[in-house]
Amino acid sequence: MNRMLRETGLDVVYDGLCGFCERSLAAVQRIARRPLLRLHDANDRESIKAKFPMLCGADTSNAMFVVTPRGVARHRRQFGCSRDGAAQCGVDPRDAGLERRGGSRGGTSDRDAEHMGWTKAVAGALGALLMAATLAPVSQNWQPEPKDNFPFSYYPMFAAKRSETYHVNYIVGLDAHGKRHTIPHAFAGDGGFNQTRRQMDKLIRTDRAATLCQTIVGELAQEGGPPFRDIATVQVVTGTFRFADYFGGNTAPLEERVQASCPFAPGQWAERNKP
Amino acid sequence: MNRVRHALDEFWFPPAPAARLAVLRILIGGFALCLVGSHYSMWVEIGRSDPSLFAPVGPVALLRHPVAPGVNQALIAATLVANVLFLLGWRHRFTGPVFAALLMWVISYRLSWSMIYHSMNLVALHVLVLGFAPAADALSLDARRATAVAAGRDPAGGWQYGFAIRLLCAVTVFAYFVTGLAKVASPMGWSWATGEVIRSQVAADALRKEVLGETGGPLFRLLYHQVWLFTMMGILTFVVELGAPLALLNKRVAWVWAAVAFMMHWGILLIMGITFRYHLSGIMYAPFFDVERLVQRYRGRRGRRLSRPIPLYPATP
Repeated sequence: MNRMLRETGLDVVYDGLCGFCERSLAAVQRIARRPLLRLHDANDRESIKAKFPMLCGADTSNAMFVVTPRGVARHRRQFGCSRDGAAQCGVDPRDAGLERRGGSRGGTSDRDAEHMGWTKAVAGALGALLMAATLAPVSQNWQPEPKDNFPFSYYPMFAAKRSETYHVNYIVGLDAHGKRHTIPHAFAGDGGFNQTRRQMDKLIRTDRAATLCQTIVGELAQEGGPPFRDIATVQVVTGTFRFADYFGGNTAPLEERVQASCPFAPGQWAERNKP
Repeated sequence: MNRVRHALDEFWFPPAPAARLAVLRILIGGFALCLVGSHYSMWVEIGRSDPSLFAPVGPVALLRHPVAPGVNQALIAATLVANVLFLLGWRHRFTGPVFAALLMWVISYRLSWSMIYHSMNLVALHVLVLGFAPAADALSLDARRATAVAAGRDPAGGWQYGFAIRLLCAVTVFAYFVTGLAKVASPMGWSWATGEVIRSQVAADALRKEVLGETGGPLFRLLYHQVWLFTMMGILTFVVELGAPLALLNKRVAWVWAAVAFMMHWGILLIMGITFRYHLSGIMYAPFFDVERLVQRYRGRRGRRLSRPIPLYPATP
């Protein structure tokens, strides 16, 4: 090999799905002890076409090509590997996984084509099933009692019409002077804002507002932080608001109904919670 | 008949590089890891909720009662382990489906307590597709293990990669389409687009957030009386949701659609304070783009830094 070739190296275009080819080239790399070869997978057709336009029509699945400054060298046909299957190449079947899964290569045999057709049919059927399952919940829109689900949903959020007024359940803390404090939802349950809100609605709907109130008091006692130190009573309430008023600056509810009320003595709770 | 079959084949099984699917595996797997990892404590705590609040959804509907909190915690921990293996692409043929199944289960279980967070639907579905697709044929430990020569290099394009990516896109746009149909099918019908409904919905959301000690959308109070803005939002929402399937037909349309949908979710965050993390991260729209270019660019930069350039001489056959 002349000096120029030694310095520039060789561009080898080969079938990347052929395990035998890869092993052979790896062996050459090891023997060379330096990056002598620049390997290019012939199946990456776009890249090969861009880098080596002279190999545009070459049958790269049947031979390796070496591109040098002087020209292109072509190895003999079917370099070590048969197109009919990995076993004949002496390639570990696990290494040939890509080919079994239908890797695209030029000049596939009828058996390969048939196998690929079946694989595509199975993949296509499973894909169609997934798409149908994604679209199927649409039918819930016309059900008398639509039911949402996961991961296939009919995505009802923001679809329903709301009236001018809005009922919402929330928690209020009253101190000894009757001053109101907002108690965050986190004291009513885990799982984020909307989940806790839904759980509160469910408990109130099923006449368990008192249980909810006790739970909040328990959590508050454990927290024992300054904002809640002065609270004397915890109330679970349902408020009715008019949107226009609320966002016009009047945040007071039109109506408020106390669903449950619990006395809160932080000192006593803290004592009880001592280890 | 053959022409139809050929057209379908070209549409659903386009060749794509393995690296594109692999990058999607890494991006979506990375998001899933953040999702499960950052909510680990909360999801474990949810497993200890009052059993009377248990309302199973998805595969969890097989259960009549919640599982023991310890089992729930073990499953979440197992999901995190499988997630890391999925990210690394180690024995993907086994770990891919296992991770997809575990993630589906733990998210379903997390949502089985009276509230379905729809923002998690597509993460679970995307991982489901990736878990069963050959998403670790490149940029993975599997690819590194396959042959020493192939280490760090991508196998060529194949239909199996293109099909999985097409499926990811289809599931995404169909989810949007179903969301749009729910609005059209509502009593408001097409008049949903006038903006009144979305304004009242956002108002309800902002109000309950405030009375329950949360922070609502920072801009909503200022914008409440600007009905025209909500009309524009309503029309844009219809365009994005009902027009979503068009993104499957053309790459440029897909890019525009993804960009508009992405911006729409940022608008929702600013006005409504609702955080759709998967959408806001942009990862959800990654299947519409040639994301393998990120790796090519990174490798190109790294290669230029680490070694001197070797020119490719012109040659003739």
